[in-house]
Amino acid sequence: MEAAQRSAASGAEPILEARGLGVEAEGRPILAGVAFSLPVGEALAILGPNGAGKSTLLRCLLQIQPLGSGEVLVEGRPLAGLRPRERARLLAYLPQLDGRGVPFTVREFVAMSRYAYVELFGGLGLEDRRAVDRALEMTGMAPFSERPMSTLSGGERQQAHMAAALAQEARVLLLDEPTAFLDYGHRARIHEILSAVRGELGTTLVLVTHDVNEAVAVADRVLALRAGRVVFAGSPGDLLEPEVLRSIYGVGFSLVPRGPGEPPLVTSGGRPDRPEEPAREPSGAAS
Amino acid sequence: MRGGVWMGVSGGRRIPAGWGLAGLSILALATLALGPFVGGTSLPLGVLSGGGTEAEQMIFWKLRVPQVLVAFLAGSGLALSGMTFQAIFRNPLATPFTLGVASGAALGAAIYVYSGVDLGIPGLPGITLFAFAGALGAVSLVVGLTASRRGLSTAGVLLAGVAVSFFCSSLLMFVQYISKMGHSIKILHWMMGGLNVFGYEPVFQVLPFVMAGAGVILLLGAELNLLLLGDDLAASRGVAVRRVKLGLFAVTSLAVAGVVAVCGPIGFVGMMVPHVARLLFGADHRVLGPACLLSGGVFLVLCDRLARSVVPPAEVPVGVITALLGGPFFLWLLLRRGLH
Repeated sequence: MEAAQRSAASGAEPILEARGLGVEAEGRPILAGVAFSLPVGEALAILGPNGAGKSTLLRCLLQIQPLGSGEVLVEGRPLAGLRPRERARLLAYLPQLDGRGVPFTVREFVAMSRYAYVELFGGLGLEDRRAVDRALEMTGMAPFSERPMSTLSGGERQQAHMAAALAQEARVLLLDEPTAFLDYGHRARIHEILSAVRGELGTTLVLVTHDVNEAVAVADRVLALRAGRVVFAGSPGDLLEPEVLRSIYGVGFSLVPRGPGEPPLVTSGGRPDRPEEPAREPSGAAS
Repeated sequence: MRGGVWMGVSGGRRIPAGWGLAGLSILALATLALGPFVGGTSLPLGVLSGGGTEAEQMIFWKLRVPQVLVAFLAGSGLALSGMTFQAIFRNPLATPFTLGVASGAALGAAIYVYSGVDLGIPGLPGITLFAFAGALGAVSLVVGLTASRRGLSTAGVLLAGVAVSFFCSSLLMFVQYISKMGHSIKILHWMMGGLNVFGYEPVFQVLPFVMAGAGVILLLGAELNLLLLGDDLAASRGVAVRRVKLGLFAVTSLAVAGVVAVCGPIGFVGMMVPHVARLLFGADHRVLGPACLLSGGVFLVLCDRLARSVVPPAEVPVGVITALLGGPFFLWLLLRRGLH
């Protein structure tokens, strides 16, 4: 609630700003000159083909990956100058699931997100417990709270990770393909949670996705990367042009009109511009 | 889920932390109090109050009490180090031995003996100093070899660790081979690993290093929990990952070096005790840390006392007993609690 009031008061002041971000790995640029500015409470979708640098950008925004050049500002302050705990109160992260077991129950796992608020020797206070309970409620994970994480399905595990990210009560939530590999039901559930998070908590979202329709449905702004550079920045409406989409992905697209007031559905049906590169899983520095 | 079994979740039933730790504390106190009475010759209770013959007094106070104390400290230090490495590398096979830390420490100590020099600053004996340098060298080598590529894959770390371990062990044998007769025997004897200490000097030689290591590791329970989730997630939750890891490497190397310098390499404790404790208590390091400290100490004291009692007056090397006792028990626990 407090976050919502804050965002209402501060209007369109940028909460997250990237200036000239550049990263190199083994002499090859992974990101070059990436810049954007995101107002409080808005949702930004980051699109782009595999290996375009989307996940790297997210990791740079979180300062998990060191920047080669440029800087990230949160609420106008350089992120590099913040201590890890201060940073964690501003930015929360939902990574791509790596399929590794987490040896804790859902509640224990979610409670661990309160690290940034708990001092040395301190246990969870009332405030912390409330944040954990609220995160479990919002994600529908309250009935699962005593279950070991290892017994959850993929969709439930993603919801638990979402609960953990929410319990961190950060002002910006950065998500790396939150609905990849999820069935339609769990995907819709995640979208529902995201809109609740925006509506009730006023959280700003940054979302990496491969799904153009998801970007259009969830985001207010879209940033598209190709080979580490920004090739499109604008509104979802401007994105929905076959030529724009082709310039991002190098493949033809069709737009299927839907009901009035609804954005058209994007399907890729064209022939690729050039022989397709071997498919690569987006992972680590390459993505 | 991959990693579920070793991380101690599948069993479900955990011992409640408070009762479990209270029970372990009582067990530890009992072990420390009764341990010195167990051995090749039986001693009357009267030795406590100055009774018994002079020889019995000597055996009790100059041999057995220091032996029990050193065994407890060594067991605690190795178990906590193993637990820490397993969390940092998120791998059940990461231990002071598989990562080359113990071999590095052993090599450092052997080089010290070989050189025959006598240096050391007050509170830090030369042999521990060299063992520490060896341990740090090995762990830096392992981390350096695998960190050059981003990601630090655990398989890569373990392979590098095993390679470094073999390399150090071979170098150690080489040093032993070229050493003078007297030094050579000293190195050989010490390499077999044992707790044949006399007097209290060895106790104070191990104590500060294990205590420093234990202090830091026990304080970083929440951080270790988050490191289990992976570096990225830990960092995003607010952990200063690099600093915490470097600190943990430093204190675990110091603890292992302190133990190895006095006792030689004693295997199995650092791997098995954390696993057993995890199966019983769960993976929360704020509980697991104290549990490893207590059970590692108890386990090594029991093994050492048994080693001295089974075929008196001969004393079986303690490493033989740790593996003979611990192996089957570990398999039993794994089958009973882990695999269904």
